[in-house]
Amino acid sequence: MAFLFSRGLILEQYKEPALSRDLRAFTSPSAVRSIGLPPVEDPSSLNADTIIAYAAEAQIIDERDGLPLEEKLRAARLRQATLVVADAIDDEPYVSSQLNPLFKLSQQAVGGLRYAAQAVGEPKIRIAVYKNLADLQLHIPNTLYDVRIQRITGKYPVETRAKLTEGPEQTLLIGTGALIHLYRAIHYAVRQTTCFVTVAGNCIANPANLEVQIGASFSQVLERCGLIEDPSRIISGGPMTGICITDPDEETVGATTRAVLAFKNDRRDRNYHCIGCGHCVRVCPQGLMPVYLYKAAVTGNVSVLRRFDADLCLSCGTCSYVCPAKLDLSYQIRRAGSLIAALDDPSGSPQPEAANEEAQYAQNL
Amino acid sequence: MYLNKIRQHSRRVHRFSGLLTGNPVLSLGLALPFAIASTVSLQAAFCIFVGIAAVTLPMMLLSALAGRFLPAWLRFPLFSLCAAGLLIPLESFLTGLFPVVLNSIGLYFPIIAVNTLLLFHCEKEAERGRPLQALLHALLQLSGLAVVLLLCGAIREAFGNGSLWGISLPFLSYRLGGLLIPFGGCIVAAMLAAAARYLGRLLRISLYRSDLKKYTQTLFEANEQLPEEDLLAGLPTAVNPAGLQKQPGPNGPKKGE
Amino acid sequence: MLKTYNPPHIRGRDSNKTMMDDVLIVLAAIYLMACYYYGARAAVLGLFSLLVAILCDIVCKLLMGEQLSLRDHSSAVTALLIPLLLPASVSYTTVATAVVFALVVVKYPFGGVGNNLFNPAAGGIAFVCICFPREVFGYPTPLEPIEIFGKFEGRLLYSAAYTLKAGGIPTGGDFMEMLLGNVAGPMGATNALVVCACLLYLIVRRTVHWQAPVCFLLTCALYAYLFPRVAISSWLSVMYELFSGYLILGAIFMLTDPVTSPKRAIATALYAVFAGGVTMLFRQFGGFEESFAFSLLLCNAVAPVFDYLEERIRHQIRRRQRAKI
Repeated sequence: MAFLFSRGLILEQYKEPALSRDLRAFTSPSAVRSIGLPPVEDPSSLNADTIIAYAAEAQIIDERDGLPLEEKLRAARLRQATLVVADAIDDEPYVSSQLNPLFKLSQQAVGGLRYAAQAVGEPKIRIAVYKNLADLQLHIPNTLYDVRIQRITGKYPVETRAKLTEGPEQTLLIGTGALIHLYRAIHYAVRQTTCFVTVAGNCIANPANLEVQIGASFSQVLERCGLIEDPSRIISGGPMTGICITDPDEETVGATTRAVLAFKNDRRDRNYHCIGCGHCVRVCPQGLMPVYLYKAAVTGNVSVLRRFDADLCLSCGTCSYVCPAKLDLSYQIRRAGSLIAALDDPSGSPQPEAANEEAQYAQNL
Repeated sequence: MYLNKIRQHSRRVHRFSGLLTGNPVLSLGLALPFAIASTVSLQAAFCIFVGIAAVTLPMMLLSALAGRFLPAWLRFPLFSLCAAGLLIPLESFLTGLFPVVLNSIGLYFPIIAVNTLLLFHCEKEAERGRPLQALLHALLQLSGLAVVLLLCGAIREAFGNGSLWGISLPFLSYRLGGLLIPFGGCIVAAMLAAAARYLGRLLRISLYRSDLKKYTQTLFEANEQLPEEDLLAGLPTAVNPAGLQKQPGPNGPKKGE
Repeated sequence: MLKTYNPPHIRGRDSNKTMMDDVLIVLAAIYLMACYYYGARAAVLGLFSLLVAILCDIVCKLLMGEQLSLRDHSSAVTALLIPLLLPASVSYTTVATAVVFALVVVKYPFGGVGNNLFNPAAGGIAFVCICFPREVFGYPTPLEPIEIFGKFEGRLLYSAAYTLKAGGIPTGGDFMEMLLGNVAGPMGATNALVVCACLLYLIVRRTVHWQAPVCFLLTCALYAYLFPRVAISSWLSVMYELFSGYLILGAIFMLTDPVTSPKRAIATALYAVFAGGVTMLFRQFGGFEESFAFSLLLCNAVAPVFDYLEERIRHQIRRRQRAKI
């Protein structure tokens, strides 16, 4: 019942066929790098500090938030987290780059989870999977190698608001890719040089999940899966929050790129005006009013932006999705929020991301 | 920036401010209740205009001559009193000529004694203290006021009553009673203000464009196109009602168009 | 180089056009009922006002410098709504005046679609009420043939609203008659059953907030129950008040106009309660027999206040939550 009254969207997931296919590799064997520590023969001899040392040497980055894994493990150890969860919540459509490796490399994923738990202390361990996925060919069991899989219900956006049994202070969420790399660091003593990426979209011939060398260009990744049409947009990330890639030959895949999507759509610009329908207000998960924030962001009205709490925006994209006038609500509000943060920032140095956005905005004009 | 002709035009027009740019009702918003509520017919508008004119001219002259010597707190009551004194014989004179009309105007005739046009300009002239200039300024303002009042009165009477100056017009048989109440007066005055703004803008833009063309034709050969520095080129056509599209620059259309 | 788009890259299926199309579908259903009662004149009035609206649209958009597009159906909604609030015997020039006033004075000078401060249909109806009160409040007998073009020459009846205003007890009919619309009244507003079905459709399709019409009608019913205008029983008073005039039709189409009503749920409910109170007071103490258009114009003026108040309260709540974290 609570599902009916919660805020957010129900999205069509479109995760097949990429979700159930085997994980394909797009790596070069010469790019394997060893770390300074030897591979572990006897896993039972490990203690928490050793595991964290391996994580640090392997320079593993968690793909959920871009933080180094050893920092997260250390911080969790300090605050004595009681629950470590492997994050396989892929709530955006098309993206399955955490779910697929979980089931195709499940031994490595669960092994990594156990090592991470050992590094933190004696916590409970779980795997979190999004429940509202219809039309799957893969069967998701209830336990995976004796680790319980917890179904997370809810409307999009889920990752930021997932209700796990313990509070946010007591929980540590680690992405599945990072756990796999932790296992490999411990058993094969290699650094993280690859990442898991979903390649999908209506221009792709064979949508699949790939293990891609970090540093491969986007066009290489797209050609690995085959393009059947010239895409009109190439997206790095999910379709709700991903950014558009303008030069696929130059730009490269990074550790936090979870998906590469190529779409061709013939949508024409309709130049609709905002009619004040209020759908954006109804779905905003933070309870803000995107209709007034958008108007204030476009005209630059800082007092309204502050009063209506523009900095609480998660930039989940839900408001833009439902807007019948197809306005760019989420983008403008996020821009306004970052400009206000720059105003409030006492150091006054412009963030590089903000400068890039300004350049993009100027290009759009 | 090719603004010479605009500047000349502005200077010329500013000398006649009151009629064109500084129209008291449409630009400055003075004496609005008279324009909105009491211009129900052309005769009523005429009476109101006569009342305001007969009061404003002498009072502005007086304030230019003597306003400087009065303390600030005394000016406004004194001017209003003098205006009221002028209005009393005027009212009885006009009642002889247009009895029905003055009855329908009702309260708005005596209120002329405290109308904002009078007070605003009297205060301004009291500061400056130049009688001849004050007289000229008053005449210009009053002519602007005359245009607005008489136009409002004519439109409202023609479309609301089907008559003009009491003479019924046979070809205007469709009567909109809603124009005869103050709500209709507000709408008519607002439409007039919008039309005045639009026309003024059209004139300025055509002046700017002609100046631009002349200037660039002296620099380039005759059949070159306008340079990209046309200030109005990129703006939406709401701001640029001449509807001229952005001309491609000397290098041809830019990429992406 | 590819063009940059902003996230999100997938969008919902609804658009402005589909929302307006929902309302047009519902209006078409009501026009069918009006044709059943009053013949083809109802449909021809609707088409005529649609034509006038398209012409006004073209002129105003060219003046404003906007792109002409057939995709914008908001003027069509206004144009098709206006004849439904008028009697079927109204002359074509009156309908044209109402539509022209609604678009050229109430809608476009304030900025066009999405920027109007007042509901254009309410503005058009209010203007026509002032100009031609006898035409707007005299209704033909239902189920009698009316000629399609030309002025109406038959007998005009008073509606139940007039009788209530004059202090008499209406003898229009019993509950079933008033529900199905066999009484004299505005063209689209007499058949309460069809209109309520349309309300249900719009609520399910999420084109309107359900709080606005439901709270409004409940408030009006409560007021009619507690303070009957004439000496009849409370339930009879509720029935007559709700079914006379165009209260239900106005609650569905005019009160829920997305541009002029609040956006938040609680603010909408409060706004509807306020509108209900003002409408019933206008009915009791106002000049015309049906003055919903005037009271709606008043409520539109104060609608942003409800949003603003709720937003301030929520801002305080969010500030406390932030301070706690």
